[in-house]
Amino acid sequence: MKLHHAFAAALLATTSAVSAQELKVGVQNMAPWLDPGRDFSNVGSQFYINTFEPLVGKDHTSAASVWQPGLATEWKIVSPTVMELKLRPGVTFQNGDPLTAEDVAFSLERIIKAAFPPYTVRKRDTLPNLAAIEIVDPQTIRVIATKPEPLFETLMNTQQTMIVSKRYITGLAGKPGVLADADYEAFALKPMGSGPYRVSQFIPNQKLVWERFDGYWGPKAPFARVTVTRIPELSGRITALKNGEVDLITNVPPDQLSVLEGDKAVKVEGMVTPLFHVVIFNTQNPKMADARLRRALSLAIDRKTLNEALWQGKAVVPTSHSYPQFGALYMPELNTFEYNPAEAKRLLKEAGYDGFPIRFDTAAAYYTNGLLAAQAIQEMWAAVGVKSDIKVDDKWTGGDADMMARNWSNPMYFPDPTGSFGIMWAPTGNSATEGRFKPTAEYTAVWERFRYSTDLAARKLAYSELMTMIRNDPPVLPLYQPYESFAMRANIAWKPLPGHIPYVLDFRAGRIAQVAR
Amino acid sequence: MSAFLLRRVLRLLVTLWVIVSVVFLTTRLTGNPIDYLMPEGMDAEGRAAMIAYWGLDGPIVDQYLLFWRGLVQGEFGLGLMERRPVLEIFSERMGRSVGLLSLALLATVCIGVPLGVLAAIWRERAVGGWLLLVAFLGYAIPNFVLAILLLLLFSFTLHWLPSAGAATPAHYVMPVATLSAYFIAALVRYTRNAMLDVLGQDYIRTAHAKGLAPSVVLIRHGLRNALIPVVTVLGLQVATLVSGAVVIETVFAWNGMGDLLVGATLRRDYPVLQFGVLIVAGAVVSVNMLVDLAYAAIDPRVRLA
Repeated sequence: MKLHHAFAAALLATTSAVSAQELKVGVQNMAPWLDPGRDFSNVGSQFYINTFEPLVGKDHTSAASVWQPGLATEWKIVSPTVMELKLRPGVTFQNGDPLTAEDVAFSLERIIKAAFPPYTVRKRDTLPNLAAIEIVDPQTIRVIATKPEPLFETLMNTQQTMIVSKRYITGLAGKPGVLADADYEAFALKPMGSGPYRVSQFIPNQKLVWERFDGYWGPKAPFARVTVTRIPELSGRITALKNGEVDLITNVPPDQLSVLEGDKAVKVEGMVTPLFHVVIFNTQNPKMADARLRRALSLAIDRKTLNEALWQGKAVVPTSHSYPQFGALYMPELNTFEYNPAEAKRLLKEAGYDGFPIRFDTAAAYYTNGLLAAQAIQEMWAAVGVKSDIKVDDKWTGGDADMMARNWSNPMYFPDPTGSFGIMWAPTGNSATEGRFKPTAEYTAVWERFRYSTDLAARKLAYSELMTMIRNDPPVLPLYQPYESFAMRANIAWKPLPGHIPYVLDFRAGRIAQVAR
Repeated sequence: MSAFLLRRVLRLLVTLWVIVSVVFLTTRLTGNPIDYLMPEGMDAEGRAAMIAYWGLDGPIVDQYLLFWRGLVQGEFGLGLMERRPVLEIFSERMGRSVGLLSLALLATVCIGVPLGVLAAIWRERAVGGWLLLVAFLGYAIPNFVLAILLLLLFSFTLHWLPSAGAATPAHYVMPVATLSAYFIAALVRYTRNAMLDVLGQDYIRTAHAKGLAPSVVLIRHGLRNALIPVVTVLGLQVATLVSGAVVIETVFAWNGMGDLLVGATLRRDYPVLQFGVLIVAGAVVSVNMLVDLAYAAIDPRVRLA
């Protein structure tokens, strides 16, 4: 049996090595710049895995977090606030420079000691607890936290902590050797890392070309060249795939799958994405101050019907702000969110809702089915007697004091509730920063207990308390985890993996193959 | 002649000044790029720091003066989203868009005018009727519908032509055909009507009576006089052609200038938008001036005074 597997693997390896020269990909959006440290968008996150690497690696085929050696070969938690990592020897960047402890310290400190505003945001939402990086010797570094840190491995595996080159970045703009904000901006246009593909051409908002990095320390990239082109229109992407102009396309909504079925030359792979489309409420708008009103608005939304109508039932409606990727901290049993129109009506009456219209903001096309969902929600609110006005604008209104409700997404940035709920709803998270959510002293205390306990049971208990508070005084309702489909030529063996953050296009060795037919 | 040119150039510059100033002010009144370009979760301090970094923190009058000083010095600034020189951003995309527009214009003139003449000559034959009918269809069908129909036929089903990008000459076939269809149709109708007007004139009968060859009468006496209204229409259509290109570029994934301008408008990327408007407006205004000059070339009675 084992021999059989090995044979199959060897066969796959040979066929891909022989035939795989160029892969052509059509994406809906291309990033305007590429810097893993400051990027938080769903567009950029598609690309980093092929060019950059974090210190701690991960088995991306598994939803649960299985850590593996990355740019660090081993590590230990020296004390609750100190992690020590041994760097992999002999790693070089794509420009030939060796990857050193200095680079590691530089990469992490550009965020945790940030002066450039885009990094400051990441410091606050992703790495607020990290204080400093210590170089012990040329192969050993220490990450120092302020409070006890239960998530060292998780944090050293994020996209934001991928390692970049100090010498390369400081030499890009202005005086060589002197670091300036302009260096970071130049880097974002000429990204360079230590991963298996080097960026050979990057035209912002249009095109990205990777070439195999022959000096890569690990298994060599399966393709000599990968070209990623922006094809903004869905019909354009589907036509380009059917016409053989591209091998793989992204962002195929569920209602288009039937167009591709029945064509033997193409196939579809999909996955429920670790990301929630959500409705948020501005708790600080005086008109929205009454928690009963927000609870009623939440209870009035029939998410199961939304899923069936908009996603053909392929999306997943969550019971709480929780993903299977959280492992032991996955807690669907919390039942934080439910559909109960009768209770909604009762609460509205109790709150004395007088029929004023709720402003619901949505971008025109940013979230798949976002506008349709907003229109359906408007009807669902009308069914319990709530009036609403939909305001369509691509502008982000999360910090607008007059905003009352809007759609948003809560992606999983790393596999812990901190990396999804926390990024958005922690006392230092985006929502509190932008002023639409004001955590109480009690909430903050429970959050601290959840975030920095090193005891799993204590963390689970604290998270359930947080969810109860969110239920009783809701700032957010997760609608569903969307189902994302990718279509490809039939000879491409690729699929999205559950161990990645949303939308990642992983083209590294063992993750994609072109099968000779 | 030179006084005329001078006056026209002056008028052109004033027009450009007005257009660019209106764009400068309206974009700044309708939103701040920070709300469109920066990640969610920035606090007031971070916002202020980024706004200052982009040079958008001063009073609007100062920004306006700075903008013009830059223009005069040939400094067009950095795009806010891509953080690289506006000239560089445009230089990557302009070739494709100019290629698309020029070929569409060329196709319009080379196909539209002869067909219009033929439609006039064959006005009493069935084939003339068919020509008019086809022209009417080309006139009536929206360009994005035609684009999708062509895509479905030639890429999706037959696999004859590539659908996305502008890499090879084959990539130009469908976009040029789609963009020029409407204008060819319009030009067939205008040319036909203008020719019919002219061919009914006394001097055409005189020319025939002189014993001139029918082709000479048609071209030298007929078409030359008919071209004046045709050229006028063509000049007016150039602006429409540019806006049509925006749609076509999106459908065929050209990542061209139209696409860039739409994105810059939605995101309030001021430097990109201002420069783009300057270029497009400059092109349209210049074409209109060329149309005026063309009158003189076609009709010696028109004096450029």
